[in-house]
Amino acid sequence: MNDDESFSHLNEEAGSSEEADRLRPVIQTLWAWKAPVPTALETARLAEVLRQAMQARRRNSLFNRIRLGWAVICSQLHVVQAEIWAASFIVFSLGTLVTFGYSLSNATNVTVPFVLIAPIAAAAGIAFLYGPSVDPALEIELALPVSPRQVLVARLALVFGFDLVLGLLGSAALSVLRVDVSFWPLVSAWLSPMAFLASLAFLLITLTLDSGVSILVCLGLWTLENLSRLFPTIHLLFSVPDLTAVAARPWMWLLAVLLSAAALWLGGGEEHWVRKLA
Amino acid sequence: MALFSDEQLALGIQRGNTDDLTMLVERHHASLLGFLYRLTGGDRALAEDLVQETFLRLLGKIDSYRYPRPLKPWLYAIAVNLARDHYKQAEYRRTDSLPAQFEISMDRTPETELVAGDERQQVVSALKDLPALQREVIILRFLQDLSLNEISQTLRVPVGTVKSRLSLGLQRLKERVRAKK
Repeated sequence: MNDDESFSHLNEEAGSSEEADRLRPVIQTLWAWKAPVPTALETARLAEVLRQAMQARRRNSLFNRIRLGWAVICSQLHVVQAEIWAASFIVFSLGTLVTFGYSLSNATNVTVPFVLIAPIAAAAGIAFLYGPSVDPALEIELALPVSPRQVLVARLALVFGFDLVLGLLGSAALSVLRVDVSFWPLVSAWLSPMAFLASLAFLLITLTLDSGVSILVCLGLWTLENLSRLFPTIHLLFSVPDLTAVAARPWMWLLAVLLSAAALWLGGGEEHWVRKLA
Repeated sequence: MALFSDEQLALGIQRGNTDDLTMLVERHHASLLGFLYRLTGGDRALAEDLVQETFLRLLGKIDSYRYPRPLKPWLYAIAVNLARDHYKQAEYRRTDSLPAQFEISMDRTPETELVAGDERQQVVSALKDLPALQREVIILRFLQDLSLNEISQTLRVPVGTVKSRLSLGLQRLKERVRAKK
């Protein structure tokens, strides 16, 4: 800053040019108070200290996020009803056994028992994801260092992930035990309807907090879908889309994403819990 | 003109770019040291500690930075708050009274010894006798060359308050210099 600029500041701040003239020697003297100038080495040392702090912070930040995510998932492991794990395991095991003994002579991949069972089993598990009987006290929920939305995601990932693993294990077992079953076509047949029905159940339980409603709607839709394949006359009464068709799979995935996003948006806000549970 | 603005460097630091951090330090180290040196009444060791703490604090809060919020006032706001906190704690501990601490550092540092003549000593001494709020705005305005808007953002007070503190501070500074003569 040159002297002219500084003195124009002074004129503004002093109120009058006379007052500025009286203050000018004071300010001029103040400028003579020189501050120390750091050497290039001192600046480089400071930059190095900060670089190290920045790197340590990034390491800690990533580690803390992973640790927090893991802690949230572990905490939800205790909150999700124990019966869900057992029921899912039994249903998927039975589905694998029944499909193993099932005659595939007239069946396609989409009509084998495993493909019929996997989506609705996952939807039923998700329908019991939360609710007044499952969740801890509202005050505790809201006092957690993570948002209700993160808790929901962790719980959803836990239950859906468990069903997904069971489905993949069952499909792998069937593809090994039966030469006429291929792993990937079988997985493709149940995966997209499972994702769709699970997300529908998720949205319904978020909206109603009633597992019964959620299961009934999903079960009704899935039953109608499969009956319409067995009894084509149903198509005369209802327009039922074929959820297992290859062409429908991308749409199933898209719907699954949209329904889950809607459920997270609606159920993630604290207001939702206050309104529903308080 | 600088290749990258402070705000662009802040974005780079948010993404973890250490070169941007180095550039920001090189750009502001000297001015921050000068500011804190004057704010602490000429205590170079304390000023250096506070400069490092200011940058560390900025680093700790960098994720909350929202582009294009001006970075310089934020940096100076951290520095001002750290200096205030330091003196609050010093007062609480009652190890040294603030004026005595100032006096020691003013009288004994080589830099102040280089300040030629009684008149300069008197002005500097009058400045450090001012209330902290007025001393801050005078240093920011006339020694650090911050605009009124920047000072307003730094101290989080309206521009009108900055102006009144400046006016009152200059008036008192003049009176005290006259009284010391």
